[in-house]
Parts: sequence; structure tokens; C-alpha cells
Amino acid sequence: MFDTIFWVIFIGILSVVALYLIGLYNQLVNLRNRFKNAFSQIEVQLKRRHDLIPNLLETAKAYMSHERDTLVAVTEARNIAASCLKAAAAEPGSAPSMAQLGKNEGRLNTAMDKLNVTLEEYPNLYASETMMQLSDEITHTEDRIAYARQFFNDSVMDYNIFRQKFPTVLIAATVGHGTDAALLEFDDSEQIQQAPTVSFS
Amino acid sequence: MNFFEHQARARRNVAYRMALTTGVLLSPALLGTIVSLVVFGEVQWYEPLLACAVMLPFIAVGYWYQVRKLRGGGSAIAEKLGAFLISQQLDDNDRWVVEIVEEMAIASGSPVPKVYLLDKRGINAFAAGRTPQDSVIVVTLGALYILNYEEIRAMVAHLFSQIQNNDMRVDAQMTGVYLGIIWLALLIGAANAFIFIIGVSWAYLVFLAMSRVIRQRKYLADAAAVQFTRNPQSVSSALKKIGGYEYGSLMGCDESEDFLAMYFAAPFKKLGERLIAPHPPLEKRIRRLEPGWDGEYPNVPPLTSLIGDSEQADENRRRWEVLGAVATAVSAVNRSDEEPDAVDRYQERVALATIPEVVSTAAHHPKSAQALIYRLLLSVNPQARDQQESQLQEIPDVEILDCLQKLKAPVANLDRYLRLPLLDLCAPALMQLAPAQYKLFTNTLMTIISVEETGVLTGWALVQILNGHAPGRRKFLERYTLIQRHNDVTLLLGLIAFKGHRSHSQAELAYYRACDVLPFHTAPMNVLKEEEGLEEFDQYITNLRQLKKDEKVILMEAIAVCIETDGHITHEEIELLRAMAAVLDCPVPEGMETPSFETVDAVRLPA
Repeated sequence: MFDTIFWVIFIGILSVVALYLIGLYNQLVNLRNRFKNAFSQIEVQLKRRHDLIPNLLETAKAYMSHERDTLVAVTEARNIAASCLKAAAAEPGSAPSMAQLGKNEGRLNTAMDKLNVTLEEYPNLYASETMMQLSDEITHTEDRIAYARQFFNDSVMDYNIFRQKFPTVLIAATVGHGTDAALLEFDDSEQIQQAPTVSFS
Repeated sequence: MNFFEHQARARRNVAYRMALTTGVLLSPALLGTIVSLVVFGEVQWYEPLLACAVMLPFIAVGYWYQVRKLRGGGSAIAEKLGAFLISQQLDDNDRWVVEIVEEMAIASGSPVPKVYLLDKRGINAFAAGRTPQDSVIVVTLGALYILNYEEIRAMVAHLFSQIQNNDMRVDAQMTGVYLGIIWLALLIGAANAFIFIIGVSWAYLVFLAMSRVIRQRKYLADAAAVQFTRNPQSVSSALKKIGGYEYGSLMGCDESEDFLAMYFAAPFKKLGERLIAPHPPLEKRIRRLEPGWDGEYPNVPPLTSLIGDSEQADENRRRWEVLGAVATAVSAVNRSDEEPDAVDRYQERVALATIPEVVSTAAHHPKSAQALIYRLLLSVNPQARDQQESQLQEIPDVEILDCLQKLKAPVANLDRYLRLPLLDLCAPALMQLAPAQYKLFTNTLMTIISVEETGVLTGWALVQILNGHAPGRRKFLERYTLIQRHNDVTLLLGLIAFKGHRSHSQAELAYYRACDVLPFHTAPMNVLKEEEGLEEFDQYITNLRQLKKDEKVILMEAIAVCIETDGHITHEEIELLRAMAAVLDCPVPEGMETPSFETVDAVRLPA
């Protein structure tokens, strides 16, 4: 019907478009794997923290036998957070698991804050070297958690931006990248949530 | 500022780099064609291809030559420079650097490299390695002394970004290619002087182009550093400190051009100032990060004052730690002139407060004035308050007790900041008291206020302010300079710093900034020892009274700086300032005078 040259050009354009779409899909896959990998970084650090906490509690128990409640609260929060982490590791980036993890880690942070406040009232604790080492380790792990979370959120953002841009947005839903990945946010500890009242008297 | 936008902008310039590279690579062929057109008058179709074929081996040789330098891996390069490994030893002193590197590795998503320390005085850092897995990070000793935590973090983040972008390998490859072409040009040029000149100028242009490309990379790395640390000020403050430091980022004598681009800042002075240097000038880098920068570099102390184990060195390090962080932070804040500073806020606060009529009339009679002052000094703490009330009941004079009762309600809600103006208002009435009665008054005052430990100094201050209103001051011989009495001065400043600030670090900051005003080298913050009480304090004050006139003015200025550092002047601080002014017989620094409430229209009942 039409000239061969027309068909040649038509097929040529089609193949260019197809190649472009393949490139988009590959980039989506790339970015998704990147943030999944970033999540495993957080997982490593969070796990380390979960493992250090029982040691800390054991050392503290010897000195703080009266402070049952605080210690028990920390243990509970830690156990919940650990199981949440396992669940979240199965599907990093999905909104419900990220929200759950964020909430429970936030609770663990609050419990740890309360523990730290209580620890300050036992000055002879600071003479114990194990205690100091553990305390240092946990602080450093928390720093690393912060950076790992930052990197994860950056990767998630890259994925979301790429997915939402034109023309990727047209094909994303059909090829299995239909939803945005969720950022990981640790709920603020209670102290921050209550705005401090300032008085000048 | 949007970090990611920053990076996007720098990345767009990479396209410019590609265009440049292609253009530069093709230019010899073009050049050759033009030359042969000129020389031979005609060009056969194979001649440009022949030219390219001749260039290829040279390019290959140059490429191989440069990349070969990377063969030993990052560690070999670092060790060749003379650096030593610190990441394996975990020596407590340097542990923090290793930890910073680990944290930045996590933040940038890279594997953790080994960390080396280089014994050079300049502030600089360096990344070396063929692949990201193979890289190492080298930091100089000067950097560890001068920069603080955040700034070293910024430097390391900058290097990580360069490692991630494979800058080292790409730069070596680019350099290799250009080197090859340049050798060829020079080789041909050896035959013909005209071509030689063209070859040399072309080589210069090539390096110029390459340096522009590397500069864009540097800006990109700076922006990435901001992204990883989430702290734009840390990168700019590291650069500012390099600018203000006597050795800058210079690395010492052996200038090798090998891996110039991988340094954080320009390592060699001669090369650093050339047009074709790969490092952008410091000012440009700072301005990209901080557009509102005023061009001032912070005063970095000389390195020799910070090294060593002596007490003075310790003290210098502490001082630099406290001040260094602030010097750069303050200049980073966008200072808008509409924002009131501490002094203005204080004046405003006092001006807005209102004095009820009852109180104002009470201030004009000797007996009621005494009662008023007693009331003003009552504590906020309920237990201390009860104690003070019971002490007040023991006053023999019935009239005063009566006034005390009447003034209870009006004074209860008065703003604390009105204490000082009211004191001034009462002063004429109080001066009418007979000396014995005045003595009794001051004694009762001290007893009441000393119920609380923290009140002793305030009580002393108020008594001194009152005494300042009395005519006929005793003249003191002016014989000391600040340097001679530096112990007393540092003690006083330490006390004032602690009085007005809640946290130790804030107090230290205020103390060090106040010491900046003084002409001598500071000592650590002194505080009164436990056993020392008011008598010893009196002794210090007597010594300070004997300072020369100009020195006293400087001391008042130092106190003023101490008070307004944190942007908040509490009423206790201003009382101390007035007390010192009264004691030293010196005027209060400008702007800090207490507004007077003589006029009757300042009277209104509180709502």
C-alpha cells in the first residue's frame, strides 16, 4: 500500500520509541533496587542497636534495681521494634510497613530517652567501664542510623521523583511501579511534641 | 537553599563538559586539516583520517601513562605522600575522624574507605583510589587542629562525592588523553617553530578547558557535601577557615601535579593562582554556598598556639573550639537590620511595662520605699518566700510593716524587669534616711535576699546600685592595668557569664567573647571556690576599683559583650552591669541605661 520508505521510517521511529521506553523501565528498576539496598543499610544499624540494648539493660539492672518500670518499658519497646523491623525488611518502601516501623522505632526512642534521664541519677553507673562503652556504642549506632535513614529517604525521593515525572508517569502504573515508595520517619519523642512553654518571670 | 537543585545545576554543567571534551579531542584533526590546507593548499580525503591515525598511539600512550599511576590503588598513593594509616589502630585521639568517615560513607551509600593521616600544616584532605571500593581518604594534621567536627564532616562528604563520581579515574584518563595529544603536537612542533608555538598555545587552551571541567566537578562535590551533611554552613565555614588560616590549604614543598583535582582545596600556591588551576577560587566557592557572605574571614589562631600539652595550649584549644564554631556561624546568619538585638529588646521590655500608681507614690516616701524594695526582692520559690515573709515580720518598725501589707497585691504582678527602674525611683527617698537606718535597711535587704544561695550576688549588686546614688564617692587611687589584675577580671567575667546563662556551654561562649575585648591572652573561666564568700569577692572588687580609667571602660565593654552574647538580657545581668558601673564609678555602656520612670504618665493599673 504505502511506500517501503514510509514503512522503514515508521518502524525506525517505533523502535526508537520502544528503546526509550525500555530505558525508562530500566531506570525505574534501578532506582527501586537502590532504595531497597539503602534500606538494608538501616536494617543493619537498627539490628545492631536492638542487640546492644539488652546488654545495656543487664548492666544497668545491677545498679538500678528499683527502676523496674523503665527497664521493662525499654525491653518491650525494643522487642516490638525488632519484630517490626523484620516485617518491614520484607517490603521496604511500602507505606504501611514504613509507617509501622517509624512509629515503633519512635516509641523505642522515647523509652530510651526516659532511660537516659533515669541513668543520670545514678552517678556510680558512670564509673563502670562496660557501661560507658555500651553507652558510647549505642550513641554511635544512633548517629549511623540517622545517616542511613537520610540516605534511604534520599533514594526513595529519587525514585518517587523519577516515577512521577513525565513521560515516565504514563507507563509507570502499567509496568508495576504504580505507587510511590514511602519515606521512613521516626515519630518525634514526646518531649519534642509538646511545645515548650517559656515564662519570663 | 535547595541542596538538590544545587546539585542539578552543577550536573547540567557536566553536559558542557562533554561538549568541551569532544571539541577538544577533535580539534587536532581540524587543526591538522587547516594546517595542511595552508601549507599544501589542498586536502585529500584521507589526510584527516591519517592525522587521527597518527594521534591514536600518542593518546593511547598518554592514557596508559597516567592511569598507570593509579595502579597501586589508593593506599599506595597515600603512602607515597607520607601518610600513615589510622583506621586500623583505633587510637582514641583519632577515633572520631574514623567515625566521621564511616558516617559519611553511610550517608553517601559508599563502602567505608581506609583513613590516613598526613603530617602537614595546611588544612586539606584528599581522596585517592581507582575504584570506589579501593579508595582511601587522607586528612592533614592541620585540619584536625583547626576545623571542628562539622567541618571535617563536610570535607569528607565532599571527597565522598568525588569518589562516587569516579572523579579520580576519569580525571586521570582525561589527563592522559590530553597529554598524549600534547606530546604529539610538541613532537611535530619540534620540526617547525610556527607549529611549535601553535602547539604550545593549544596545549594551554586544552588545560584551560580541562580545568573548567574539573571546577564544575568541584562545585558539584561541594553541593553534594551539603546534601550529605544537611548543613550548608559547615562546608562554607570550613572554606572560610582555610581562608583565614596562615598556612591556608598548602601542603608544603613537594609540588606534584599528579592528583591535583582530588584535593579538597588548592594544595600548592603557585598552581593555585594560575588561570588553569583545577580548584575554583575560595571566594567563589563560599559565595555559591552562601550568597549573603560579607567577605570576612574568621581570625584563625596560629597553629603553634594550639599544639602541645601545656595548660595554655589546652586553654587555647578550648577557646578556639568555643569561638571557632561561632565565628563562622554568626557571619552565616542573614543579619537583617530590622531585627532588634538584645539591648533593644531589653529597652523595649522595660518601656512597655507599667507601674501602678500605688507603687509609684510608695516609692517617694522613705518608709514605704523600704517596704517596696523588700517586696520586690521576694523570691518566686514558695518555700523561700515563706521564709522571707517570716523574716520580714521581725522588722521593728510598724509603719514599714503596714506598708508591706498594703503593697502586697500591687507588687505581686509586677514585671521583674521593673526592679531596677523602681530602685532608681526609690533612691532619692532612701537617701533621706539617717546613716544608721540606712545600714539597717541594707542589712535586712541582704538577709532577705540571701535566703536563696543564688541571691547573694544579686543582693550585693542591688546594694551597690543604691550606694551609687549616694553623693560623695570615695576616691580610689588609679594604679592598675587590666593585665595586672587579670585574675580578678576573669573571675568577674566568669561569675557574670554563669549568672545569666543556663547552660555551661553558653556561659563559656559568653565568657570567651567577652575576653576577646580584653587586651590579654585569656585564661580558663575562673569561678569562686567553695570557701570563698562575699569578703573575698569584696577584695577582688576593691582591686578592680583601682584600675585606670581607660581600663575600666574596656572592662565595662567586656561585661556588656558578655551579657548580650546570647541575645537575651535578663534582669539579673543588667543589675550586675549597673552595680559594676556604680562600683567602678564608670558610665554604663551606650544603650544599656535603665530608662527612668519619673514621669507620672507611666502610671496605669495593671489589667
